[in-house]
Amino acid sequence: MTRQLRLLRILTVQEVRMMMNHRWWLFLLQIANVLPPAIALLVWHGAIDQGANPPVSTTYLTSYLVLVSVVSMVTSSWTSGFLAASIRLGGLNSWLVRPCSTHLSHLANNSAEKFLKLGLLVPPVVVLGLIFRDDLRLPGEPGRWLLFLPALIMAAAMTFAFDILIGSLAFWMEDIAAVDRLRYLLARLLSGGLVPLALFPAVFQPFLDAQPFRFLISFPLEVLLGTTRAIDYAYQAGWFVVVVGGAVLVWRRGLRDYQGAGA
Amino acid sequence: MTPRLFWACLQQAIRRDLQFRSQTAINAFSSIGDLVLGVVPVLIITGSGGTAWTGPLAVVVVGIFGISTGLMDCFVKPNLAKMHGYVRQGDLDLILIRPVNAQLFATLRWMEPAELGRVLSGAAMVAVGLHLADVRPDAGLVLQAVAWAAIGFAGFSLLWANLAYSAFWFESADPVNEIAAQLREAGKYPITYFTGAARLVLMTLVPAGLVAAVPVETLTGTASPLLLALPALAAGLVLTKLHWHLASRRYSSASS
Repeated sequence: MTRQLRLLRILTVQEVRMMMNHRWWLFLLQIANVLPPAIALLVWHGAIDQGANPPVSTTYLTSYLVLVSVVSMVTSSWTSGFLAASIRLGGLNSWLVRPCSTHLSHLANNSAEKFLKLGLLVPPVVVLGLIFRDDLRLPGEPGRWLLFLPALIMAAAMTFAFDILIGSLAFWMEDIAAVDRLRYLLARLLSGGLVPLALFPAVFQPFLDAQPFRFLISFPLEVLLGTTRAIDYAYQAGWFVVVVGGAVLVWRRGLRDYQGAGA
Repeated sequence: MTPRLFWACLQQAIRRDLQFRSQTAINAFSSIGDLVLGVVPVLIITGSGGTAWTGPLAVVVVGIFGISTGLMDCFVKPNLAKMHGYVRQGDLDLILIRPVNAQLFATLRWMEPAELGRVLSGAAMVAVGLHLADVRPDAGLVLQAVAWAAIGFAGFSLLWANLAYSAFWFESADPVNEIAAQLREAGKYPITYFTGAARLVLMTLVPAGLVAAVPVETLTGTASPLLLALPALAAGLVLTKLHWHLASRRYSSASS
C-alpha cells in the first residue's frame, strides 16, 4: 500500500510538471466550465425579478449555481477516452508488464489535473460570486464542510469508476465515444450539474433522489447547503459499491479477452 | 467552395458515417437526446411563471435552437474544432495548396450527417409547440422568422470562426470551441429572461439570442425589425474575412 502511494505521488508530480506546460489551455477550459452556471444564474435571476416563483429560495439557487462548477470540476474525470485508446491501440501492454496499475497512472493524471484546475477555476468563480454576492450564502459551520468532504471524495471516486467502466467497453467495442457521449448526456441532467434537482417537479423527486447520477454532483452540494437527509449517505455508499464493483468486474472480464495486438 | 465540391464533401461524409453505422446511430440518438433533454431546464423555468412565455412556446424556442445547432454541428463545428490542429500540426498546408477558397474550404469541408437527426427532432418540436401554443403565423411572419434564424446561424458561426482563428495567434487555443458551444446554450432560453447588458450581448456580440428566441418572438408577432441586422451581419462577414487574412499570414507551416 505504501509503495502504491509512493508511486501515485511520483506519477502525480510528473503529471503536474507536464500539465504546467498547458496552463492557458486549462484556464480556458475553466472559463467554459463556469459559463453554464453563469447563464443559468442570469436566466433565473431575470425570471425571479419578473415574478417567477421557483420551489427553492433565491439564496439556495444562487449558492448552488455559484458552487456547482467547482464541485463538477473536482468530481469530474477524463479517463474513459484515454483508457479506451490504450486498449484499442495496444498501449495497455506497457502497463500490464509493469509493477504498477494503469489505473494508478490515470488516477495520478486526474489528481494533477484537479490540483491545477482548482487554482485556475477559483478566479472566475470568485468573479461570479461577487456579481451575485447579494444572494450568495456560504455555510459558516465547520461541521457541514467536514461532512461535505467525504461526500465529495466519494462522488469523485464514483465518477472515476464510471469512467473505467465505460473505457473498459473498448475491450469489446471499436469506439466507445458515442456511448460516452450518451453517459455524459444523462449525467449532465440527472446529476444536477445543469439545473439543481430541487427545481424539478415534485412528482420526479423520488426517482431523482434515488438514481446514481445525483451522487456525482448534487449530493455533495446538498450536504454543503444543508438540504440533505441522513439516509442519503447510505444511498451514496450503496451506489459507490455498485459502481466501483461494476468497474472492477468489467475490467477483469475485459482483461481476459484482451489480445494485446492493438488496432 | 463550389456547390459541386460541397456535394462531394457531403457524399464523402455520408460514406464515412456508413462505415461506422452503430457509432453513427448512437451519435444521432445522442444528438436527438441532447435536444430533448435540453428542453427540461427551459420547461422548468417557464413553469415557474414570471413572464408571458409558456411551456409550448419554450418548446418552439428549443426546437428552432435544435434545427439551427444541428445544422451548425453538421456543417460548421466539425471544421472549426479542427482549426487548432490545422495550425499546430501544419495540416493547413493541404488546404492552402488547393485551388479553392481556403477559408470556405477550411470552414465547410468536414460534415457530420448524424447531427442532422437534431434538425428533424427540432422541426417536430416546433410543429408540436406551435400547435399547443395555438400560434398560427402567416407566411410573412414565417419568412421573417426564418430570416432571423438564418442571421443568428450565420452570426454565431462567424463568432465561432473568429474564436477558432485564435489558434493562429495563441497556443493552447483549442478550448475556445468549448467556450463557443457553452455560450451558444444561452440561445435556447427565451430572450426576455435575460435583462440589461446580458440581453444586449446576446443580441449583438454573441448572437445566441438570434438563433432561436428572436425567431419565435417574430412568429408571435413581437420581433425587432430586420433592417439593422443585415448590415451588421455583412460587417461581421467582412471582419471575419479580414481576420482570416491577417491570421493566416502568421501561419508558418509547422509540418515543413
